Amino acid sequence: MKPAKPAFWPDAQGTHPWVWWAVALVMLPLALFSWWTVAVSTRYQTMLEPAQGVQAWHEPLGTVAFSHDTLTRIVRTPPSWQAMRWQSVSLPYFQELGASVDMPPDAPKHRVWLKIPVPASAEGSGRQALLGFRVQGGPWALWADGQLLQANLADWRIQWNVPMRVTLPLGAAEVLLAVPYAEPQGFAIGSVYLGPADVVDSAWHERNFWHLELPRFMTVVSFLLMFISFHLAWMRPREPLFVLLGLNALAWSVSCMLYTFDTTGNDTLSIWFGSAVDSSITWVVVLVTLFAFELERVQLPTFRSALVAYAVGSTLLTLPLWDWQKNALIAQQYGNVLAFALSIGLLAWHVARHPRREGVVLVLIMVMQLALGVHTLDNLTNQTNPDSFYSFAAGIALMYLAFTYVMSRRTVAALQGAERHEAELRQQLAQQAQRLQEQHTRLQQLEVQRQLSVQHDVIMQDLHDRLGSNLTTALLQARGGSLSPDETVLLLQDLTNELRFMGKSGLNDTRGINDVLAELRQRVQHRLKHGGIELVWDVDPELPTGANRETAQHIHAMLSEAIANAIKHAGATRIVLSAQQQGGRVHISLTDNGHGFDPATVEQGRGLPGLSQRAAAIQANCSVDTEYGKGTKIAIDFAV
Amino acid sequence: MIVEDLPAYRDDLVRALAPEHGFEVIQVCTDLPPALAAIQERCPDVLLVDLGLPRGSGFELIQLAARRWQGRCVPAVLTMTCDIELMLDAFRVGAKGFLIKGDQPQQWRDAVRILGSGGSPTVPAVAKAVLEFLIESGRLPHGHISSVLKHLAAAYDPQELARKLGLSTLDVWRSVRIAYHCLEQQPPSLSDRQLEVLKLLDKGLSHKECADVLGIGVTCVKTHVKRSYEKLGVNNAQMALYEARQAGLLA
Repeated sequence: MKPAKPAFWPDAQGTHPWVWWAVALVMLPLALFSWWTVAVSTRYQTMLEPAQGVQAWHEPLGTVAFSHDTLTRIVRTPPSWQAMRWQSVSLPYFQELGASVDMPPDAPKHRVWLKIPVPASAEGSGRQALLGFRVQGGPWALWADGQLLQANLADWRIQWNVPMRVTLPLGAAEVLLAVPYAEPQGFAIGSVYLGPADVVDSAWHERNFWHLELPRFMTVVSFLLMFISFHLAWMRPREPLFVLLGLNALAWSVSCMLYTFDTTGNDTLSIWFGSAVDSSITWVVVLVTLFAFELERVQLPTFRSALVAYAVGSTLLTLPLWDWQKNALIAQQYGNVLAFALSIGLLAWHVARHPRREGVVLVLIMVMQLALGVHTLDNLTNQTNPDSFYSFAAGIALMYLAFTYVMSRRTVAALQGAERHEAELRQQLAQQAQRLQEQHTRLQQLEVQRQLSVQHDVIMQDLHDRLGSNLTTALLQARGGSLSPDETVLLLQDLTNELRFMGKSGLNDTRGINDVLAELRQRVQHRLKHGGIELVWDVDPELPTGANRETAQHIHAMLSEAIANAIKHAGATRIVLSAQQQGGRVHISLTDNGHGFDPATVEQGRGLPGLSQRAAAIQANCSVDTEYGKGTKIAIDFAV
Repeated sequence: MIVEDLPAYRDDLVRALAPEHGFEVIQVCTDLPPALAAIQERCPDVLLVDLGLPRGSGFELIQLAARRWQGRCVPAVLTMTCDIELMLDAFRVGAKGFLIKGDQPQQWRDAVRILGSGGSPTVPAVAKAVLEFLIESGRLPHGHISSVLKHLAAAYDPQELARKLGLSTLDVWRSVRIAYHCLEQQPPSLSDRQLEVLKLLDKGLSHKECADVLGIGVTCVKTHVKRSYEKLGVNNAQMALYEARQAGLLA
């Protein structure tokens, strides 16, 4: 099943105008590059004279096997000067690679000699030098006046790409260039230029920029890209693109290494290195394809597996362990061309159906790379155009550009997707916060309503308890006509007092014992005064302040009841209220000088059961100490 | 002087403070504006004010009386419920006591006598609130004030209390007066020079003219003005003059 498209996947919509911009972006550097190589970078070369009137002679060398040692000897051995038979040739001069590149050790060997005349017009323009662009074959050697002038035994393995630059002796009329070669492999010698030594130096540098320095630079850049990509792959193991990018960079690095790495002097290493570089091109083809397929979501798992199998197989088959190695290497390159063409075809078909900027850029760059590869292969196998530019490395540079472009585009898309996602989340969060706020407000309103309702209940309870009973009593008494004016005033006085205390005692959760006692005193003072009873107040002003509502109510009620009893029943003239605290407990006692009573015979109206019930409710000790004729002492003792 | 809009109670109060009990009611007002006008003219020993008047709050009258007559007139509140917060607010603007409307005439007379003799009556709840407020705001005076308030809050009778603490009853009432006084917001204390400048500004003089009149530099005048702004807690001349007038500084 096709995996779901990630949110940050770029849309196909509106691609078409951008596709052409992308094409322009690829084509523009390509055009610039062509212009530069043809018109600008050959400035010094045009100031030199191409060698004219060149003559050639092929010296037979027998069947000596080529190795670094034998080649060294051959290069330093002068020819039989008398045997030379010259014939005119034109440069570039080459003998095509044979149909079979197998080279038996006893294959016939030759040394091609080129006689290059130094133009007479050079007289008086200082030291002359010779510049040759490409030599394929054994190490070259330059002879003048019957002497070996210079050879490149130290680095002849890279002479296929590093230009030949030799300063000529003053006054030399001609020089001889010798290149050994094996019969089946042939040779190729590119154009040779002559001119002042300084101009030759500049032309040499000029050419090296494109042919040598750029590929070397690409090797370094590919290494860096590889490290970055593998680091990313390590951090994001679930993104196969990073791994593929890293592997691509590795393959590019290896394929560009033949511009840097010189195996001259070690024949075995040279063969293995050649095998590695050739195989790396297979891997470039396969990995570029896999990367493009992954980026463009071309599934084709069988094809992908086949590509990998091909790369592994061809790498193994072309190892220098087998006899067919040299032929297999060439066959491998043709196989690469085929595989790459097929992959590009599939990708192009997919991109045509789902055009997207990255896809178009990838197809273009792959087509270009295929073309450059074929061009390079053609030059290598035919050896017919030794002056040519081996363009595969330049293709790698452009591929690097294209890959970083698509990756950065993908990264930017991912970042934008993440930002969009974050913005959505933020918005959702804000909405959530708003909803919560609204809920909170509603809850607060409900809470306020609930509290108002509780307050209402408390007030109604107070009204009923405090005013209601008094009013009812007053009404009944007034109706019965038994209410004296004094009593009426007293009753109404009580009622107004109740009004004053109602608000205060109602709503607080805790009250001070002193407040409870103060309220009690203010409530009863009119009654006591009216009854001519003296109240002695002996209260510690610093009693605990944290009694809860229930305790406060019960204490108040118990003392009220006790005072009422003292007024109504005991006939007391003096009441002493004492309240002290000791060790976290409060002791309150109410003593009157009335006539007391016998607890055993007293009628129920005096509220003694109520007293003990209330005391139990607040876990207080309550004692009634009385005797007929001796007054009464009620003591309450409780913890706060 | 009595300011009360409820006719029944007003008449009761006037009757309770009849001349045969040793009082003289010099004026009775039923609303704020005539009372404000009257207090500008006359200085009663005791001013009894109901807070909820038809055309304004009694606070304004109490404040004006306190500032106009300083200590010579003792303002007090006539209250039904003796609401603690209201009482504290009244003390802050200069009230020195209150009469509870539900009390008996004898209690009213006692209260007015206490007020007249330099003391202040109280009830336990108010004493407690005043004590707590003074402790919280760090304005509690030294001496026996704290102890007196504490016992009053515990519902001690003044006579009992006086005996217990070895004071006279009047001392007790005077202690309460001092406590109430500590609640009062003191008017800003401007220096003589600053007051002079403000008075000139009030007459419509410019800074330059003030400087000429007082024989000092304009910069000096401006400095005085700026200082008085800071003291009055304002930032322009109009507000400064308004505040100063309210505080009775320009009378």
